[in-house]
Amino acid sequence: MTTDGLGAAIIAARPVVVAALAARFRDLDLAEDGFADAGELAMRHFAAVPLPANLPGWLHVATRRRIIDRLRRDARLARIIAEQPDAPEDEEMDVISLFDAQIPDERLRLIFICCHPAIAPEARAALTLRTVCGVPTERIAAAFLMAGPAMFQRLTRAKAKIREAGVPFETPPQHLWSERLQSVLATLEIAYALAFQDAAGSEPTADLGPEVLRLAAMLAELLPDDPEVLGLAALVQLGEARRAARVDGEGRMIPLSEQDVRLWDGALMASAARLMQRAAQIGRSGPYQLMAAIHLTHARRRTEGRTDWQAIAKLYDLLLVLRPGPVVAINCAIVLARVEGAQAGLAALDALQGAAVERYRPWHAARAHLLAQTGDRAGAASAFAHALALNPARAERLYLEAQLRETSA
Amino acid sequence: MQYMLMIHEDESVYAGPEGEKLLAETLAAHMALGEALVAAGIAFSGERLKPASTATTIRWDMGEHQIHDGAFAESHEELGGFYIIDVDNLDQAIEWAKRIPIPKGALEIRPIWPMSGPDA
Repeated sequence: MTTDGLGAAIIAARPVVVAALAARFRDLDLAEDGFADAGELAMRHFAAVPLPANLPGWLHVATRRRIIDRLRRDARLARIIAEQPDAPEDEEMDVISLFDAQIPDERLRLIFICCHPAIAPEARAALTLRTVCGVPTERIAAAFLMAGPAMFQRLTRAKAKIREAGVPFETPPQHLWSERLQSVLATLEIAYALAFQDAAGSEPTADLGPEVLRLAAMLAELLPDDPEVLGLAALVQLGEARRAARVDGEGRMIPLSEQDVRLWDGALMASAARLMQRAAQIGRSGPYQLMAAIHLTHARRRTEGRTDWQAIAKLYDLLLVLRPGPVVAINCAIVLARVEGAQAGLAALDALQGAAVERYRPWHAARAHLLAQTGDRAGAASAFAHALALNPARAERLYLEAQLRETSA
Repeated sequence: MQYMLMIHEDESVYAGPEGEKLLAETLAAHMALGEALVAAGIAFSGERLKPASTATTIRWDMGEHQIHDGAFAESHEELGGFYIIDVDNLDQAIEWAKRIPIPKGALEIRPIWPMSGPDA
């Protein structure tokens, strides 16, 4: 097997193995460090010999051995050893393929722990990407626009909180399920927003897209009967499906309505549509399904050649009820402009005026576009300048600068 | 694990005739919570504190100290009382903490450092 292929197989096995051992030993660091050692061992070992039929099983045993070795060395943790059922010490690595069904699937437990509401939302997202997906701390730091050591410290603090405050290593009981699942979904939404904040893929953040995609798919696999989980997974897929079309050759953002649909990933969009169908059959609507439905309606331009703005307007109106706030309200106004004209959209934007939206870049950008459509070039240029002053990511900055040049020319 | 549940309350809501009624209701809810804890077999203790206007603060800075009138933090919400409960984990602590009556304010949950026994 090639080194890359082996590395990918090890990464794929990671969530199940880390989750199982984190749940068993009730310690995230032990599981993560043990897996890192076991992964290195596997890279060396299987460079020369063929892969076992059950690589996850091999890694599970190797990781557990590393953990137990470490616990034995570490007297501070002797108490945990005493609580462990006797681990068979003499399992031979080459018969591990027999233990196929023996790794308990604890991924959901691990996700619930990392997304516990007692941990700060941003730290939750970082911890989930680190612990469940194994994303290196440096890459997470880049996505959060933080220095590596600062992110390392944040992760360390979150893990210490879990350990010291007694966050339970259990999936939540029924009566807490809804609150705790909300926390998981919100965490994934932060990770998703982070992966796509650049809207472009020209910054290192772009790399997180596939990780978030995998995480959302994992959650949909573990909770296939929750329509909002399916909705969020579809939402992430639809965002990822447009990645190649979101930026031009110079790294400049291309707005959704101007993207070349030939660059959209039809297979990923079809997969999202299937998730949405399953969600609809369960029959309990929610904000993530609505957001996914909006993006799915946009995706239909690929096959139908046009965008159904009326349908999108209706979906946004519903979303505004479930998710009141400036973000959705601005989008409502943009869509209203498509349906009823730029003046109607501008009126809706102006109705939002206040200190909060004044500092909000999308509000200025949306106004600039609609002003340009009404022929008010001076007003549009001023609004584009306002938007630029509010610190956009590179791709959006390049786009806004081009728009500003056009309206000022 | 033991947790301290600290009640940070806006004391001003208990002022005036309406406030007295609210205080009576809140105290009754505390009594009911204590009974529920007993019924659930959970070891606990707790105290109500006199208002923050009765507080005295000693502030230390590298061996030097000064004594002040009032609570240590200037805020609308003062520490008005606390519970210490012994439960299995943070989720259970949060559940009990949610049942503490607080008309207006916040509740802080802090794990207690184990000083002796097998957890030390």
